[in-house]
Amino acid sequence: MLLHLLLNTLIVGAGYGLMAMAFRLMYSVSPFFNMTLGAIAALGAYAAYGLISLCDLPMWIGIIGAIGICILFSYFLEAGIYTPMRNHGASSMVLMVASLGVYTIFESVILLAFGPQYQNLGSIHSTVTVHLGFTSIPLVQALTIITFFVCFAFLNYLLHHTFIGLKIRAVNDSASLANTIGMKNNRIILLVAVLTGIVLGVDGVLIGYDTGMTPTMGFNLLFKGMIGAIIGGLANLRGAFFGALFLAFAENIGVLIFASEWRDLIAFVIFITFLSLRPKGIFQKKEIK
Amino acid sequence: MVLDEMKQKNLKYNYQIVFEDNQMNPQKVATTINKLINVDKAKAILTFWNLMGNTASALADQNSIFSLTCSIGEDSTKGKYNFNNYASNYEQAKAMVETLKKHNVKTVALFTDNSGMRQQYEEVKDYMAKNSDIQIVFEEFFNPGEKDYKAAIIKASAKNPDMYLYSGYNPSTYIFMKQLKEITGKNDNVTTIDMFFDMAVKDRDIIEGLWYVDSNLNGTKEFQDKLMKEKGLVSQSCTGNTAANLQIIVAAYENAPVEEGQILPSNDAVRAWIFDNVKDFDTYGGKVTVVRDGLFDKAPSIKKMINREPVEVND
Repeated sequence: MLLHLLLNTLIVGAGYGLMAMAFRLMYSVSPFFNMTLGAIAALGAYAAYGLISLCDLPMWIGIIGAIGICILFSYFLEAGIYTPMRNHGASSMVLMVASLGVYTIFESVILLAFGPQYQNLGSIHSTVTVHLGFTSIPLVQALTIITFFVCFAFLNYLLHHTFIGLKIRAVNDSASLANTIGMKNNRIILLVAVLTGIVLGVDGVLIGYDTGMTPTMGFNLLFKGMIGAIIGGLANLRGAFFGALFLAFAENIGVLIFASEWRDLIAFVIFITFLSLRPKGIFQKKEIK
Repeated sequence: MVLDEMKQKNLKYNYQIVFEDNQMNPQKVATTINKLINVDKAKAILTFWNLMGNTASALADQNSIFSLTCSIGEDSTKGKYNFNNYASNYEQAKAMVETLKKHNVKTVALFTDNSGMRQQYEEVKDYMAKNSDIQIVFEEFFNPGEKDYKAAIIKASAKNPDMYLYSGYNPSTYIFMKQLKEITGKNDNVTTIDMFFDMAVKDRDIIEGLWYVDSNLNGTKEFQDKLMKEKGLVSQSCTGNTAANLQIIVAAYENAPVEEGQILPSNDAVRAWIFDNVKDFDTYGGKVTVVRDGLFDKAPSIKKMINREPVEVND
């Protein structure tokens, strides 16, 4: 039972973790609660559904197309909405309200285009399973776990071992100082928006294949990812990675000890506890004195 | 379609259907129903499923207008002018437990949505305790819209139940069936009250061959054929019941006596006509009878999913 539970923690945590990493990455250069990250993930799922199920495109073309659409959407949001607002001196609160507006418009468009009903990308009979000795899991869940680790390794490498990563970290540390020394912050933010689009597009497609999609899926996913990122600590990517796993583990243990109906309550109790007692999360930023 | 056909019979009054889609969004249900009552001045609200049925009946009661629904639970019949064209919780519980007994089930695991369905399954537990030796080895409630049952399934499967009794709205049903198969390797030992019919036809492979208790009226063959021919639609959950509700309320207005000086019959006259005359009343949902407190006298049937469609088996 414990092995099954740990495996489920990994599967659920990977789903939260991709969102948590995207949230952390975007927050590092554009520090506001960006609701549209949920919309980008939902777009990944619906775009794949539209291309594969409605346009009858081959699966791989549909998936790549969906991720491409997410990249464009994420780029457009940043270049067309948030960057101009930021240039006009909009505060984090104003940006957050704007993102809520964009999210609401997006959800309404999805409702009009696809209807309120549940959709899914795969059926159980077409699901290939991966054998793990003590159990087997559907291929899509195995891919979610692999993607989670690969994304973490890639983003970690990018941030800490490349010049682009150095620039992203510089904007994260002090946007004004980075600007003063001649860095083009908006370009860095746009680059991060593209990376976020890739991560969330992949997350959306994987969720579309695993648990399916509804127009409101983005909001729930964003909340869990955000909680994971905050309890892990927004100071670095490790925080998002381990925070998401910690949240999934706590939820699963909570269901085991109490009941399923307490799942969301457990998540929010942990969230509030961390905000009260350790607001900078598990992995806090080292202060330079 | 139903109203157009009734209008061909030269009705006394000019009936109009005002349609509002709340997309089953709990935040929009009350707003849309209030709009029908206050802006459109509707005389009767026709809804289906308990989220809408319960809200409509409460608001209809406040405004002294009719509410006719097709929903689980009996809360939707609490007002004076409220009717629910559905089997009672007791009848459903009886059908479920008696069928479990026939299938020689000794132990069950209950997974129940924390909504109107909870009342339904409390009735099942009550009937089970009084009329069978079936043991409940696992019981868990979950919030509507749940998407991760895996931890709960891991707990339940450790108790090795003969049968899983599941209740939840789609897509939860589909997700539960999928995750049960992922964890236990099979999902041929699941049953439910009503909820399989709610699943989209394309998803029904996952419930092929399973039996369940069904209180929905698919509608008469004539109705189903017409619906397909004229609208290209397959009768869905509560379609037959809702068509019957429309026929009943129109017939009641047409036939209830009108007081002198009035244009329309009073609500009390319409209500009295329904109680007095809707007995083995022919509708597109089949013959229906209104009994106590606006509930319809209807025993559910046992259906089995064969070639993705529910087929009445009654065994």
